[in-house]
Amino acid sequence: MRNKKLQAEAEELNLAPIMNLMVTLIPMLLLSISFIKLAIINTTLPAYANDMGTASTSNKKLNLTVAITEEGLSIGGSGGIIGDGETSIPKLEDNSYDFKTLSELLRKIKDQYPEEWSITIVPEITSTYETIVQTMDAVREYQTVSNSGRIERHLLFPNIAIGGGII
Amino acid sequence: MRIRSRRIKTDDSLNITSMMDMFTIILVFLLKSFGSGSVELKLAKDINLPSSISNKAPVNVVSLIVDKNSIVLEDEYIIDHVNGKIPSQYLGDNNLEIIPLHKKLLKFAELQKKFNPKKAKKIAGKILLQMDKNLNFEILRQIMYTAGLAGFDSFKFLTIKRDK
Repeated sequence: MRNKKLQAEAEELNLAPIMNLMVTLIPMLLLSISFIKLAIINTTLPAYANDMGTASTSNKKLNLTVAITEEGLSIGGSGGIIGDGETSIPKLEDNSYDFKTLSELLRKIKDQYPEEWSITIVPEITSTYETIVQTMDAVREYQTVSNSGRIERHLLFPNIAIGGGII
Repeated sequence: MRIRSRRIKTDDSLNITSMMDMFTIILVFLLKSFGSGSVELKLAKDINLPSSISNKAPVNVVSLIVDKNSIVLEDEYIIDHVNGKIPSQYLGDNNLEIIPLHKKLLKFAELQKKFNPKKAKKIAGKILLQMDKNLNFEILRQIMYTAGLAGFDSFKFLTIKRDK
């Protein structure tokens, strides 16, 4: 009878040291963890980026550029396949840039030239860094939501170069 | 009549099994999050980074910080700027080259080649730029031009990741 009681008591595991370990580990990890997720955007100086991808359908380069001005955005292909003409995208009513339309227009160009990967962004000297990053997002890729609710990424022009700027 | 008193046995020890379960789950979650961030980055204090939908993880290359007031290269203060304007005495003839930054970049690349050739090969020509989102393109253009002169032609703009 007494032996049985002793056996039952011995089976109980002493969790206190493990608890001590947990109490030390969790604050340590909480201190060293970063809650802000960071990401990078790759870009190069113009000459290098333009050499990375060219339209295979022709020897002539597409020379696709997106200019950021006070009035809005404009897509151009100076001396390239799509000609010298520019497509302007004026600012929205709230004075913000219309990145949605920019993305849609670039998708049409991408459908025509699927082998083209390079683009040059030419900001105005007064354009903010935030606007440049948003433009880079719009020209690099677009996202669609699948039936299962998953976000799918489709590349547009990932080889982005930043041009000299409009003074 | 004899009243039989029944002693109620109480268990004084704390049942910590459920607490252990909770701690184990938290620990696994934290260890997983801790392991995913492979690159250790020093974030500047006086800076508002822009947000981006990019999903590329940061890399450990030459760190250049342009905060609201100054330019810092690899923890070394270079110069101050006033609202994105570099004082003219620090600029070259074409108003694009930032002379102190150019010198420091060349010196940094040279020292890396001399003392840490393995790392120098890995980071050659690459700059991780942390820049305040409200600064204008003028200072970015000057920095890119200067970096290009010093042989750094690939830039990685650090941003805060957003899903959509």
